[in-house]
Amino acid sequence: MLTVLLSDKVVQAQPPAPSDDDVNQIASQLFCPICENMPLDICPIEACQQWRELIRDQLSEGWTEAEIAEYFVTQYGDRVLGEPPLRGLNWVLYLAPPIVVLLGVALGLSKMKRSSQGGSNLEVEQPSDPYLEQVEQDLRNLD
Amino acid sequence: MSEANSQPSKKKKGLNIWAASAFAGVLVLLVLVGARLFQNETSPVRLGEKPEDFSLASYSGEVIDTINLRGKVVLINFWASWCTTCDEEALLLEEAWQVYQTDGFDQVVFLGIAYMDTEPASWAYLAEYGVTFPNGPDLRGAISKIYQVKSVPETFILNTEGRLGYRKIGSFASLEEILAAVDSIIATGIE
Repeated sequence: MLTVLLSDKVVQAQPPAPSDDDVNQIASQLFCPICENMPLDICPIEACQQWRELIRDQLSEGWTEAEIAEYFVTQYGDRVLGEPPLRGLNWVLYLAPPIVVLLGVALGLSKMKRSSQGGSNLEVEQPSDPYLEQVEQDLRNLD
Repeated sequence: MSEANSQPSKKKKGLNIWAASAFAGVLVLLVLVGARLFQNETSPVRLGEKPEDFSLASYSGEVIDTINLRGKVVLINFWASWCTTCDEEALLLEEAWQVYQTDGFDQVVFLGIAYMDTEPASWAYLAEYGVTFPNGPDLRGAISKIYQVKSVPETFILNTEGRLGYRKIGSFASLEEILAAVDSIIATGIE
């Protein structure tokens, strides 16, 4: 009876075997280190098959997705990640596009502002014409 | 009147400085992006050049620093368990290694680097082909980056000064070819 109970507990303690979907879900976040831009889940070569099996083994041992990704980075470098991690010069890759866009927008806005100011200056600098002033005054008197 | 005329020109001057600064900033950013994108690109090691030293944490637990191997001829072989042409070469390399071992000639060191391989598969591969010389993983691809390895197998032989004396892209065809390559480096330094 005790043996039955113990064996039941052992069975319960084991995590369920990872499915292909579980493996592919993580594999899709990682890239084949020896191919060009090929996610691990769809990579057909034998090496990728080995990596998927490794992910399966790691999931069976209870590794988290982050731990598996970290393992792959340690083994094969940052190239296995879909996005470069924020360290070293990598931050430039993230900051450059928004900064360039912001600078472009700022330049465009200042250009627009400058042209509108140029227009109002023209009005201010227009020399006054006594005849037109007289006409405007007459029109106001008519009201 | 003249004051009114000078105001827009001052503004224009200010704007020009601002635009020039922005342009310079964008240029700096582009240079940084370029530096980041090309920082992984290193020129391949040429014969006679001294490649950067590396440290190999072998599967058997020892750490081998190539800087400590000056005075010895060092054969560095990049392989992978998934490589279809590496297996026959592994047998030949082991045979060559045994030749230098039985001759009692300890001036030759063989290092095997598992290129982009999984550890369980590497272990199984080394066991299957009975490889006994030191082997270890190419962690983060650091060693293959030094030698600009793009495919496997590739073999490099360093002379006693640590300079590259021989390079083989693809697998060795025979034991004699390996021995001839190593012996030529022992004799002359560079093939």
